[in-house]
Amino acid sequence: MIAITLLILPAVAAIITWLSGNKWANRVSLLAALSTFVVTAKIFLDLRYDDAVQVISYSALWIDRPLIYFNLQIDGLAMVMLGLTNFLVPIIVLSGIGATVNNSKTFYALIMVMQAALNGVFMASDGFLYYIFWELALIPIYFIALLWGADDSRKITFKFFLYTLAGSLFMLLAFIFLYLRARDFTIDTLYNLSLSPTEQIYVFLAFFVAFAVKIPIFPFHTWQPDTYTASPTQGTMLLSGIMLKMGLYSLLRWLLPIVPFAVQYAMPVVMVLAIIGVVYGSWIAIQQNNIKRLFAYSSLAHVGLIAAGIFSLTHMGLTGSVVQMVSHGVNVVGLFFAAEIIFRRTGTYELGSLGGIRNVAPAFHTYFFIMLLGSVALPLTNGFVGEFMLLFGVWQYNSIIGLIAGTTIILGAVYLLRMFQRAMLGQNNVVTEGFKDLTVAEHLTFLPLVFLVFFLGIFPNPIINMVRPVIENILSLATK
Amino acid sequence: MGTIIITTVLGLLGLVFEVLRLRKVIVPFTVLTLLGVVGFNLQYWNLNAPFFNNMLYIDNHAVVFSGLLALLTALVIAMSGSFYKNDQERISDYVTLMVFALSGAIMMVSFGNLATLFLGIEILSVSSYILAGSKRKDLLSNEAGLKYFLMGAFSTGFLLMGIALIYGITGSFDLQDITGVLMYKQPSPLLMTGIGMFVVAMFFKASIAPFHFWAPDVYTGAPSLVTSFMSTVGKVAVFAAMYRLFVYTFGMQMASLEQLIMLFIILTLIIGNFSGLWQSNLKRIMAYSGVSHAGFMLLAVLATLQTNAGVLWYYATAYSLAGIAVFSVITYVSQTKNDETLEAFKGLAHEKPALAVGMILALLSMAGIPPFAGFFAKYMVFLEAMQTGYLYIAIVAVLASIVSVYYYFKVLWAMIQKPVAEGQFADVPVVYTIVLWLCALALLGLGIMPSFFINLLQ
Repeated sequence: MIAITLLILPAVAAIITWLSGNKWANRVSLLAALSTFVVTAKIFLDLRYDDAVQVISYSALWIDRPLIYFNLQIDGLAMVMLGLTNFLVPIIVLSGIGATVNNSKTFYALIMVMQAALNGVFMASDGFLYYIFWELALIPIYFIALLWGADDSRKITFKFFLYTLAGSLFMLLAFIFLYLRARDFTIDTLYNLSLSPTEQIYVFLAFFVAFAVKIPIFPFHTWQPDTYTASPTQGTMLLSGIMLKMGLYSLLRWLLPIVPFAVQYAMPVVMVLAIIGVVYGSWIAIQQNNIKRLFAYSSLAHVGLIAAGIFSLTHMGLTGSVVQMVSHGVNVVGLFFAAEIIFRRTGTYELGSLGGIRNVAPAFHTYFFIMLLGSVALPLTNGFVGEFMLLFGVWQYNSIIGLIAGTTIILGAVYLLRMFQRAMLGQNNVVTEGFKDLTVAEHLTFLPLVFLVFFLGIFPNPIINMVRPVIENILSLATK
Repeated sequence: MGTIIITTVLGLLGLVFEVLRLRKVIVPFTVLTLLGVVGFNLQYWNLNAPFFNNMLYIDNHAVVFSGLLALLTALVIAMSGSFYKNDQERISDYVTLMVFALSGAIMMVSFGNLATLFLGIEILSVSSYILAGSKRKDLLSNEAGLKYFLMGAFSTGFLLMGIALIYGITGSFDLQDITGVLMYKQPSPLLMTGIGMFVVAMFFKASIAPFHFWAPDVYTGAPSLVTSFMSTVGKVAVFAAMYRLFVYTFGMQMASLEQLIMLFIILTLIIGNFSGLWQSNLKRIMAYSGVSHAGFMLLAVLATLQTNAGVLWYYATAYSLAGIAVFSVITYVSQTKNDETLEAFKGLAHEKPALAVGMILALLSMAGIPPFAGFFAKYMVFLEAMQTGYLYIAIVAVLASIVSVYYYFKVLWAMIQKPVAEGQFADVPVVYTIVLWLCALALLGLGIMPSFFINLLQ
């Protein structure tokens, strides 16, 4: 029963936020997001973590013909994703304090709707219900990017919408196909379905396109840099911090166990695509002068590595992918927030016109640097744990691919440090002279992120232990 | 049966009220009576009985569709009081014609005899011809009326020919007799020609490609309110009639025409969705959207073949409610600005957010985005199609619905643009907002609880 609270609470919060009016919307939604976080913490404490997969579930019949259940299920893996979502949403809402948003009641209401849909995606254990939430998450973020984005956002966001919708409609066909075989959408039935190799490959293709667009994996990524740049920063945080994890999570939950043969069959191709994404994303990031675009490409590189880790089908790779999903979520939100702060004060994202911010804003400099180190994967930061496990997994699969993937750490350091040097160090210019240091709200936004960078870097065991039985289960299904 | 009598009398009463100088009562009285008809109609639930020597056959299929049609007509007529504000002396004509058209539509969903089908189609069509041309001083409206009439009369010829040929083979107009005879008949060229004539006539009325050419012109030329009536009531009635005719009556004999009809469906899906991309007049966009939805509904008719009658009913409800919702806004804009191009909708979201948001919900439903009814409707059609083995058509349908998103979003983008000048939208008549939001909320409700409605026809 408590599982369903994670859907109802944000949904009700959306209505209340909308009713509370533009003046209060930010604070009301922050309060709501915090209470959702408290509920998540409660679930975290309720759930037991031991050698077998333990779940908290909610089950009800929704539609009897065709048979669709309203089944929610929280296991260790879903718990990690819920934790990430409901931790980041308050941060994202908090980051809006001090920014002026037109019609903010609608803006924050849409974020709340988004949160409900994301929670639904991570909890749903009925294929159709999962699909509904998957699609539902698209609508609020589309409107956030369209209505509050840059002036040229119409074409860009439509490309994003169309790509995602096209991908997911084929996923719908695949689900219908599975339903016609299984007469049921529940995840256990789908796991136990025996499909012929050819059928598996068709289902794999339909699913993979939907997930690859969302993640995005090269060459399905073309919507991503433009959308990240054109969206308002809070939208970008939602997209990069949480929404792309939908795709990665779905690989683990809905792809590997259902079509194991096809996954093994396609493994080399996907591996190569993912690694191309890693190198390509890093390479382009090096040449970027727009901070937001740079982070967008760096994000492309990072998620490419996560996808590669998942498709390595090793225990290390899968566990690393979960750890890195959390780390990437934390780091990328921090980085985009830093970009937002620079933009708020200077009105530009261009590296060329910045410089010397460290001299006038030491606190901001410190936080930004810590987030950066997390992204560069310095030992003792969260990025290191995830990337190390991922690279280890990929290495186990194929050492040459592992070697190429390993360049991400070097390239990452190159573009991030170069960016940092040009934006933060050096001499002040007219633009950065009057750069004010952080406000209290901005401090509060950074502190939890910074805390997690170190906490997960030094002590990643909680996550690893939480997901271990689930990962083992997925692996045993995927390699049978 | 009572439903038809009441609606016919209601139409006559409209004329009587006009004579008695009770013009102001006509609209509210008609709307309330029609809502009453929706309730009254429920007494025939689970009756499954013939009336008038089997001229009408009332089963649950007829009951739910009659109810839906009466409801849609009530919604349209509710808006007519405001739409014809400056044309009060003829309001009784318009309302009466719509009510008569409704009685024809109800005959089309409950016929038990080909003669009743013919009567129903003609009553609906003739009323629609007049309504389409009812803006007498407008050239486009005249064109619409005349075009609709000429093409419609032509297709009626096909229908009569089909009835004659079927009579020649089976010796009866009665559906039960026809079903009985056809069950043991081998397909013959004559029989196929007869059924083919029906197919042409019905596809014309339903604007299935390649018989859809009249739709964009007629939809654009006719007064907006009339367009909303034709595109919802007219279309739903034709599909319900088609279902009864093709699935219940001709049954297995349709199998030999299956390939051809599949081709028509694919054509309809492609033409309907791609032609809409280049349109800038909203009524034309809706006309092509109607063509594409007709393709989906035809797929529902063909793919279900008695397995799940609820699919067509659910799709028709989702389609027509979204249609009324969208048209309530189009009607408002065309009334205030006398212009239905996308240009006219610029800034609507800034000045009339309640209208714009309701319209966006309806458009999302039409585009098939969850959790709205339009999504479930499409999903059910995909499911039935794949179950019947039409995987390729399901893929075409998916591609088509991806394409269609573009023109629905074109409308959305126009609405959210900054207004060119302040205060260019006059006050919204309250009834438009009510109709819009009733439909939008119904779409959401149908989407969240689809079971109940689909199961009505199990």
